[in-house]
Amino acid sequence: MNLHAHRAIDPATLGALVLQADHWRRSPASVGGPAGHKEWSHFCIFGRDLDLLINFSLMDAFGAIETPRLTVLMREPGGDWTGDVDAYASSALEIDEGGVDLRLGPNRLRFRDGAYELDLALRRQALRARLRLELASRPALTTSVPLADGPGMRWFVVPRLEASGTVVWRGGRRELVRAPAYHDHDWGSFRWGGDFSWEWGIGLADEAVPWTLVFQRISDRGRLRTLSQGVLLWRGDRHLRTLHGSELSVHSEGRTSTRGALRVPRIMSLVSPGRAADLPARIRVEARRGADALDIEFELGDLAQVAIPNDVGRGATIVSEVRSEVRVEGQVRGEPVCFEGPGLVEMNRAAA
Amino acid sequence: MRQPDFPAFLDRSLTILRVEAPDHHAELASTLGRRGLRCEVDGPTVALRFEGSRHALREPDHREEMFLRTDWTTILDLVDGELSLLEALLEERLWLTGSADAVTRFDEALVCYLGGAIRCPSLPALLAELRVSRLAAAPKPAAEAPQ
Repeated sequence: MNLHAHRAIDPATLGALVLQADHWRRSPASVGGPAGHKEWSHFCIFGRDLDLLINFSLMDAFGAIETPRLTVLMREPGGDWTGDVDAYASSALEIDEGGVDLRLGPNRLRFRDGAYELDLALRRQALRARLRLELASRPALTTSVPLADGPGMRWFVVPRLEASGTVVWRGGRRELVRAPAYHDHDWGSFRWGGDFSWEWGIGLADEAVPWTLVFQRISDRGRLRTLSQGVLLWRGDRHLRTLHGSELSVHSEGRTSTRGALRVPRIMSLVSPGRAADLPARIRVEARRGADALDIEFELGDLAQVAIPNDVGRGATIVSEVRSEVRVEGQVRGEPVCFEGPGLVEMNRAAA
Repeated sequence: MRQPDFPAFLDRSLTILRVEAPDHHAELASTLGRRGLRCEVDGPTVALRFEGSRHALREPDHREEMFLRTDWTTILDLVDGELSLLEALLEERLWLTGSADAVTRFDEALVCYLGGAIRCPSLPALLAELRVSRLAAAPKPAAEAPQ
């Protein structure tokens, strides 16, 4: 599928928008301000032969400022996951001040000629990737997303890109050609293990009309109180509608087993071996505003987990990345919306 | 094959823990105290005790309340998530001896040590150093015979 046909804005303008908003904010503690900063640049790619999640992060934690990490998860079509979290010393980090570009040891993120370029090599897994992700939609910058006990997170998103390049896994080479992809950049100050949890899902139609959908819900840690929730819908490169708050009704059903799921960094299986998790098998969202209506269903499948030591208490926060299929039906701004496609649901659950 | 020195590794990791995760180090000191844990990893043995808030590694006097025996391969398989603690015990790759109370205390101490270790910015470098020394200690492939 060629998404260029759906572009109503030229690549140079899109690129300028990215350069304005997708820069590294950095920790205030690095210039004498308060610690607690968290920031990451996140990419999801849905290929024919593999899916990839790539995350560059800088986090203040446990007295260290801006510990840089690269997380890569790769999923094969049968549902097997591999990947790792590679932490680096601060001395291995180079950031283009006020820019998108970052170098972390041998790994590199750059923005050039309207595209993100990623060069990656995990230390202890035989996984390397060289990718170019071209913009296929307008970026968006959200207002602050409140977390229960912090000032909240800001969120920059490019909901649709096209990823091409090469992935080498255990010596086998795989090519990606214009695979649908997603990118966001998040930053703010909060403490892992605090009184919050989130559910976040994306769905990318691989059809004639390249619909892209993002769903997010922030709750308290016990998920008894919803702090914010929303659905954003793009048609091609254009944001079409956001529905939020009481316009959404969210239902979870069933249970997804975490048995045998990859957990990274791998040492966290030893530190935090518990597997109990109330992950649903299905999330249904009904979104309504006037004549606009969307019925969304995420069917959750296999998963991998990223475990993060809590800043609060001794436990860990387990972030489950669940490969999903998304189905959407409805009508927005008078236009019928009906698509299915690959998706991903991310759920964070803190354990004491 | 000369293996990395476990007592030296334990000493360095506990020193890092004391500086970078002091709450965990203090809790570990309170959990283990002077009871003594004798460790045998690929041969050499060492006894860990806490004297007040400081850890001390000494020659075992065989009055330790807990005895742990394992090897570096098992330790790294545990660290790399290739093996669970339960599997290591059931496969007899890790032995732990002591009273029920002592074994429970060891489990609490291990959870505390690991919880602190993953929060220490300097620990990954120590682990990487350990892996390099393991590689250096591995037997070299035999040279090809001359034609």
